[in-house]
Amino acid sequence: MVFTRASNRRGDLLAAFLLLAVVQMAASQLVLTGWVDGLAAVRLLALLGSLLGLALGLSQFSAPLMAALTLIYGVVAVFWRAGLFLGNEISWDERLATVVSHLSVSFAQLARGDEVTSEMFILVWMMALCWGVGVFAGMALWRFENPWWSLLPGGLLALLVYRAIAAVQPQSQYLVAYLFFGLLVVARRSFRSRAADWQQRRLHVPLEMGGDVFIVTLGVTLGLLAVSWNVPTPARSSLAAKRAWARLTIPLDPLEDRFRRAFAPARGGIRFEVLRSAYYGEVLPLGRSTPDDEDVVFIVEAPVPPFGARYYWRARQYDYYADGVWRNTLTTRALLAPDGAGLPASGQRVHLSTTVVIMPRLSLLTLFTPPQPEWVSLPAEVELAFNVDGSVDVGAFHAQQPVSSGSAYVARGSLSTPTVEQLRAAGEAYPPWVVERYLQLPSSITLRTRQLARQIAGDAPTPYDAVEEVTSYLRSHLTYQPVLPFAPLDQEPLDWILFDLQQGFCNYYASAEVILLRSLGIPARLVVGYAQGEFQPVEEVARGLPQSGSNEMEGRYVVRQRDAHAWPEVYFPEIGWVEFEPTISQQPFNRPEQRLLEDNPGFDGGDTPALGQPDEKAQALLQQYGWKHGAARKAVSPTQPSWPGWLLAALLLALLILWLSPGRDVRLLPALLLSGLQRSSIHLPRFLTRWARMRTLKPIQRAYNEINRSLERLAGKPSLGATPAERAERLKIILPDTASHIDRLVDIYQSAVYAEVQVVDLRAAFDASREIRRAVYKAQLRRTFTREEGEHHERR
Amino acid sequence: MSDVKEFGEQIIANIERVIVGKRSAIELAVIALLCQGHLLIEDVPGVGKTMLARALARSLDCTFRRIQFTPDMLPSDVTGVAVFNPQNREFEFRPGPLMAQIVLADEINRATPKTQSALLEAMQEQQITVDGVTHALPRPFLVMATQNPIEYEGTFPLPEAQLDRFLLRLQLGYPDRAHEMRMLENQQLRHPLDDLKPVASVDALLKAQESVRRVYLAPVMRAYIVDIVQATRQHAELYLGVSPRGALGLSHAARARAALAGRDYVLPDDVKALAVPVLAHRLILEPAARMRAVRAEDLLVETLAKVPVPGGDLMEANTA
Repeated sequence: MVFTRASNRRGDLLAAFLLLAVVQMAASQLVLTGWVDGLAAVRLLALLGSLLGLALGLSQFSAPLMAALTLIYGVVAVFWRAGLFLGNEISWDERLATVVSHLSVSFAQLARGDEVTSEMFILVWMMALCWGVGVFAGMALWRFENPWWSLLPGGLLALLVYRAIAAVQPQSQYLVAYLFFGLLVVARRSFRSRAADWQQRRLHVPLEMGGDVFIVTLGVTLGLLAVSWNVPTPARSSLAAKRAWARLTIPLDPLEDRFRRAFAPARGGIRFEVLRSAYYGEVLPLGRSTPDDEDVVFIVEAPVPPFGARYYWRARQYDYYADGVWRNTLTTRALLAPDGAGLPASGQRVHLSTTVVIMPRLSLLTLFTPPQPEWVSLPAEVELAFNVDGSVDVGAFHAQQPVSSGSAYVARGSLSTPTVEQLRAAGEAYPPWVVERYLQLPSSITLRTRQLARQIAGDAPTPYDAVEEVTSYLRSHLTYQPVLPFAPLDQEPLDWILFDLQQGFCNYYASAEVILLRSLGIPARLVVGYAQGEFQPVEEVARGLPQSGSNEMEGRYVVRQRDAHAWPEVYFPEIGWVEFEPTISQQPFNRPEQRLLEDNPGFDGGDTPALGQPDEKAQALLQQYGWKHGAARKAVSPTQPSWPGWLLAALLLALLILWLSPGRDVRLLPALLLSGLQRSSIHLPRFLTRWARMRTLKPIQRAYNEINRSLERLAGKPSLGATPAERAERLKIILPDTASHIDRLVDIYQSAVYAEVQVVDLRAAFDASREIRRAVYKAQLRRTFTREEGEHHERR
Repeated sequence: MSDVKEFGEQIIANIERVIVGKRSAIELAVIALLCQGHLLIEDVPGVGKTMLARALARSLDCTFRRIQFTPDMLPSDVTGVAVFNPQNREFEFRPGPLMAQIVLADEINRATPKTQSALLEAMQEQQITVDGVTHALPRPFLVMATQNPIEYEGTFPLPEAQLDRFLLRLQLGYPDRAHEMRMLENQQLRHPLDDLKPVASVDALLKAQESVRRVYLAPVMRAYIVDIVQATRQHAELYLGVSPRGALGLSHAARARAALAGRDYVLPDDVKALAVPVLAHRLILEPAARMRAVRAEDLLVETLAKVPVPGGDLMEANTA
C-alpha cells in the first residue's frame, strides 16, 4: 500500500460525491436482504461513516487517532440509531440500557453455543459494519495512492451479500451500481493524481480536461457494464460447477454453523439460499413485522373452492415452540419424483383433492402446495415423518433446483371441508404420534397464559368448541399491528403479546392459538405460507394476461408478499388437520353446519389415482402446457443475452480468429491493448503489464527469463545494464550446483540473440531452465527453513 | 574466428613472458593492433610501457621505433626530412622515426602542439607528406603514445579533441606483489626480451585484421552501442560526450575482442568490457564534477549500469 504524502492530499468534490454513492450502493445491497427489520438504518450509518471517513482522510491525523475517532463516533452513532428503534415513550437512559442488555445477552448466548434470539444484535452489527465500511472507504480515498483500496471493503460486502441471496433473488442492480460508481471513482482519482503529477512537472493541464476525461470515463464504464451484464453465462447453470462449488464450501460448514447461531433471529436464518420473506427456514422466529408490499410472489390457477373452504398455500409446518422461535422436528427426508403417485391422500370424506397450477414470479426454493400436499410435478425433497399408522406427516416440499420466475409447476393436495357437525363429533381419540408431537409446550409458557386458556375455553363441550372460543377470543382481543416494537428480553413473547401489548400480526395470532390450544390438551401446529390471495375472475384474465386456456378454471389467485401468512391447524381424529383463522385481518372461517350436496366443478371428489400410477389429471394439465415431467418450462433468466451481448460475442469471436490465424503476430495483442489503456491514463496493476510483456516473448527468451526470475527471487533484481553473461555469473555464485545448466542456457540464448546464424537448441534450453527452476525452489525452501549465518542477498 | 583466437593467444603468451600479470593490458594492445587503431598509455614512469611496445614488435617481427618527445622537438624530427644530397643535387628523403611499424611516442604531452599535430596527422592519414611528396606509412602501423600523468609543468597535454583519435587508453599500473617478485627473479641474469622470438608474421596479422572486420554485430548490439554513446551525451555531469568516432571505435574494438575469444558475433559483454578503455578518454567533465574529483571512468560505469542491455532484462519495453 502506498500512502499519499500529507502535502499531496487534495480534496476533490466529485470524487467525494461518487464515493458517497458507492458506499450507499453497498449498504443498499445489504438492505435488500431484509434479514431483520429496520435494516434500512444501515444506509444512514454508511452515509455518516463515509462522511467521517472523507473528513479523516483529508486530515493530518495519525492512524491510531483516526481509529480511535472512528470507534468513538461509531459507538455513538450505532447506539443512537438503535435507540431510535425503541420508540419515543422510553427515556434515552432506558433505551441505551435496553440496547446494551440485548447485546450482552446475545454474547452470553453465543458463548454458551446457543442461538441468539435478539434481532437487535444483528441490527447493531450490521450498522457497525456499514459504518466501518463507510469510514474506511472515505479515508482510503484520500490516504492511499491506489483508489481500489477504498472500494475493496464495500465491494466485498456487496458481493458476498449478493452471492448469499443470488440463488433465489438475483437482483443485481445495486451491484451494478456499485461497480459503476466505483469505476468512476477510480478513474477520477487516477486522473487527479496524474494531473497533480503533470502540474509538478510544469506541464500545462487544460481546465476542461477534467470534465472531458470524466465524460469519457462515464461512457466507457457504462459500455463495460452493459456488455458484461449481457454476456451469456452458461457456467452459472452448470451442475458440475455447482457441485465443485459445493465441494469447496463443505469445509466451511462448521464455521457457517457458528455464524448461523449469531444470526438466528434473522428472517429465514442465514443460509446461502435466502429469499426475502418467501422462504421459511427450519427455524421461524416470530419476528417483529410482516411484509406489506404488493410484489407478486406467484399466481395460482385453481378451481374455486366450495363454500366454507378456502385455499392456503402452504410452505411448511412447525411443531416445536420455545421462546419466540418455532422449529420443525421432522427429521426424515425423502426424494419424491414426479412420476410417482406422491404421498398418501388424506381422508376423503372431509377432504377434497385438488390439483392446481402454480406460476412463480420470484425464484422459489420451497414448493407451495395446497394445505395437505400429496404430489408436485417437480423433483422435490420432502421433510416428513412416517407415522406408525401409515399416515405421513409432511413438513415441507423443497425444490431440488430453484424454480425460476416465469416457469410453473403442478401441485396436488387436498382441502379440508368438514362440517361443523363432523368437527363436533370427532372426539378426542388422538393417535399417539399426534400426542407425542403436537402437544409440546415449553416450560417458559407462563402460568397466566395457561390460566387464560382455561378461562376462555375451559368449559367448552367439545374440542371444536374450545377451538372456536380461542379463535374468537384472539380475534376480538388482539389488535392487528403489522410492525411491533422490540420485545423485552426477559419476557416470554406470547405472554407479552397476550397481556401487555395486545397487538400482533399473523405469526402471533396463530402461535397464541396453538399454544393456548396445546395447554388445553388439543393438538395443534403452526403452518406458514401464503393466504389465498386475490382472486381474478376469468374476464379480467382475458384482458391480456397469460392464461392456461382451461375451461374448468374460472379465474386465478394472485398471491402477493403481503399475503404471507401463518395459521394454526388443529387435529381432529378421523378428520385430520383442519385450519382455523384467528388473525383479524383475514376472513373468519364459515363452515357449513352440514354437508351440502353441490357438485363442485374442478374437484375430483374421490378420484385420486391408485398407488403407483401417475396422476392422469395432472398429466393432462402438464400436457396442456407442453411440459414434461420434472421439468418446468424453461424460464427466461434474468441475465438474458440481448443484442449488445451478441455484439460482444461476435467481437470476441473475431479476436479469437485473429489470435489463431497464422501469420499474424498476435502475441503482441495483449501488450498493444494494455499500452493503449495505459496511454489513456488508466492505472494498470503491474502484474498485468508484466503478463502482457511475457506474452510477447519468444520461446528462447522465455527459457532465458528463468535466469532473471531466479535472480529476482533469490538475490534481488539485477540492474538494467547487466548482460546475460553477467546475470548468469551472479546466479552461478548463488546456485553453484547448476552452473553447467546456467552456462548452457546462456550460451544457447546468446547465440540466438547476438549471432548471425542462429542455431537454437530449444529443447536443451528448456531442459536447462527447468533444472534451474528446480534448484531455485530448493534454494527458496532451504532459505525459509534455515537461517544461514552471514548470508547476504545482493540487493540493488 | 579460431585463427584470430590462436593468433591472439600466441602473441599474448609471448608477451607475457616479458610482462607478467598484465594480461588485460596486453589484450588491449592486441585489440588496438587488430583494429588498426592507436593506443594511448597514461601511466607513471617505469611500469613497462616501452617493454610492452618492444615485446609486441618482437612478437610480430615488426620494426620498432621509440620517439622521446621533448619540448624542442620539431615536426621534421618526427616525420623525417628531405636532405639535400650534393652529389645528386637532389633532395633525399630521410625518414624519421615515425616510419616504423610500431612506434612508441613517449611523453607526447611534452612536445609542442605543432609536433603533436604532425604525429597525429600521420596517425590519421597513414602517410607522411614532406615537401609535397607523400610517403605511405608501413602496414601495420601502430602508435603507442604515452602521457605522464604526474608532471604537468612544461607540458602541453593533448586536448580531448586530439585524444579522440586514439582508439584505446590503457593504464598498466604497478604490478602486484607476487608478480613484482617474479619480475625481479626473471630479470636477474638477462632480460627476457632478448630471448623473445617472433611468433606470428605480419601476414598473419593482416589476415587476422581482415577476419575481425567480418565479425557479426547484431542490430540490437548496434542499438546498444548507440544507446551508451547517447547516454554519455545526455549525462548531466558530462560536458562533452562521446563522438561518433568513439562509437565506431567501440564497435571495432568489440569485434576484435569477440574474435579474440573465438566468437564470430559480438556480445554485450565485449562492449561493456571495452567501454571504459575506448570511451573514457573522450569525455570532458563538467567543471563542477571535476572539482568534486569525479572521474570519467566512474561516470561511465554508472552509465553502463543504467543503459538497458538488449536481451538482458526482458520485461523492459525497450529491450529486444
